[in-house]
Amino acid sequence: MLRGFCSWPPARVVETLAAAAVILWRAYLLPLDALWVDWAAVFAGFWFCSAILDRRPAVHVLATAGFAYLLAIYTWPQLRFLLGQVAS
Amino acid sequence: MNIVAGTTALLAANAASILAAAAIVRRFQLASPAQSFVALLLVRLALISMTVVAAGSLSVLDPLTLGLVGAFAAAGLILAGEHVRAVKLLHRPACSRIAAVLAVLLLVRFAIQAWLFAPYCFDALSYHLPKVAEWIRAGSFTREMGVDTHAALPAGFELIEAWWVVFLRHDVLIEAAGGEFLLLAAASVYSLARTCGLGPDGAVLAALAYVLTPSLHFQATASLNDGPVAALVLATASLMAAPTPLAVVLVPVGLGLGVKATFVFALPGLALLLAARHDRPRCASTLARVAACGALATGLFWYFRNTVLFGNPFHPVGPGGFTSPSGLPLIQFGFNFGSGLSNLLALFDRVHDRMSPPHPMIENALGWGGLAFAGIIPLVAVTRQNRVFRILLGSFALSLTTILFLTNHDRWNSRFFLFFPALIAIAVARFAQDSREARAILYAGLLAQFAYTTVPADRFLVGALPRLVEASWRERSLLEDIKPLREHEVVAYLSTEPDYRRGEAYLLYGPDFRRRVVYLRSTRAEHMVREMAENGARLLYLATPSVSDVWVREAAARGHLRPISERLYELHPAHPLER
Repeated sequence: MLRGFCSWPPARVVETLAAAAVILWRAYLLPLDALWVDWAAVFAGFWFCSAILDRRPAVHVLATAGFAYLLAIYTWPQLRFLLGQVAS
Repeated sequence: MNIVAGTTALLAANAASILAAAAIVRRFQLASPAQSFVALLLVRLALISMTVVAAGSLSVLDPLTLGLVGAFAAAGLILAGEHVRAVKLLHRPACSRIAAVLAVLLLVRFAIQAWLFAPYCFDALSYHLPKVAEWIRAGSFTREMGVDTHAALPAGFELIEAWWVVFLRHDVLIEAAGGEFLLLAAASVYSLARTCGLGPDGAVLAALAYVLTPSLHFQATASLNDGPVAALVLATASLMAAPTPLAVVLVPVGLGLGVKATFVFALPGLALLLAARHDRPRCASTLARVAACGALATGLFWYFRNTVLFGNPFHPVGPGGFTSPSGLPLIQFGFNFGSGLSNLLALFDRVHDRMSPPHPMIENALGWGGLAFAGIIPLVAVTRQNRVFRILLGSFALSLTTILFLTNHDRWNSRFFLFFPALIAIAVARFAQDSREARAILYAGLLAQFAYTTVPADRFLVGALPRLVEASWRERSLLEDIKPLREHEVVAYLSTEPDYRRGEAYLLYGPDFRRRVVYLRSTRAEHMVREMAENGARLLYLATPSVSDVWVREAAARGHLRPISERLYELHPAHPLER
């Protein structure tokens, strides 16, 4: 399946710097107490940690936790939104 | 034509298109069953589009002609044994029981949605569907397309909608057109996921996660063409990512050209994907070349029509874009750094979907759902592991960027890049293969999105839903002010909304296209009344009462019109022209 494609690996250093830049940008834009529910900040936090941890098993645990956390912070307001609509 | 004859013609023509598509695709000799199925769906759509273009141009867009042609073609193909060979092209992927049950539930629910929802989305009612209604009434393509400023834009998706309404002469199955593209999207995501190395079960989960994207799913129920564009982008990508001959890849490109310009905007990223694959066969079968030429000709048909009718292939868009009379920029032409930057920054605000409920027009939101929102983390994890996925991401990111910089910054432009969450769906499914916990989270997300995509938060539709459920399918329509309208009435329609001249014109035709609609274009009361009387229109429907009542009030003051309700006026029986 993979044969026939040219090689294009991303660099870990670039990833770490890019993730740090996103965290700083969101921290500059938003108050600190809003960062923990900010999609871009949570994502960049994971990206930063995973780039540093590289391929250690902890990355998968961190990724699963981050995946569940983001799904929860999306679904909860949407659920309230939907229930509010049904009620009205 | 009665309902039995219409249904027979519908079945015969669809059987013919499926068998013919299978006979053609068999000769492409593609590498995998997944790509063959994508090609089968594409060639069927191309055959239907070519048939409707030919029938519309030759004034034989009627159930009898299409039904007879379909029946003869189906009989010939069955006698040649194509029905046996077609079955061999179909391949049931080995997937888990949960995925299979969810797929069946999704299919059943979509059938119920298509059956119960009458066309409801404002844009579709204003400029997509009035064209279809005019074609069906006339049995051919018409110069009359309605008064909406966007009426002359390419209508490749409307060809498929016309196919689903022409046989019954009724719009009860019109959402099946969107359903076809939803199936194409699912098949394309499955094929892309397999190319990225996912197993059959993971690929099915990726396809399910994608078709449950709220904005994409509701596009399919709303007769809008952005979902079909996303499906065609993904189909092109799935064929480009595999060792498929270039001629086969050109089939979705041809179809996409005819659906919407946003497909063209996505092509730079897709070209990157094309260049990344070095082992593409140079030779294609003659049938593949013929199919590609047919699809390209169908796609370019609209630009040719606009050149003939308006002297500009991109009408109403000129070199400076398209601006409303009040100065509002409606369609951008070319690259704009300012709008691109605004669009890019808006992504971060819209991703939470907090500003508007799920709706096919996706106002101030992305409408990608929870799995795509949370899937950004699996996206990073999978991108790091999978080289093919990295190339896909680069390709899709470039397509997304070109679209952002080539389209206006407005509240609704998130629907132009609905193909992107497909990549996140593949990443989520790949990520879920590695642990039971991640798989459980994926199932939870799928269930939440299944619930979330049941009814779009459209006030027009939600308010009318109890009435639609109770109504007979023959009368199912969202027009509430229908009582004064007679069965075969001629109704005049006036929209003086200054920017788009938008309104729900399609509803006036009725679900079985029994009424003729006369579009009033004059801006003076006496001309308007004269136009009504000359066309035999007794009633006037106002699309935007607050704006247009200046003229209407003037006509009423002169004794030409008598108000029946807020939106309906009757031409005075004593009007000299009426007599």
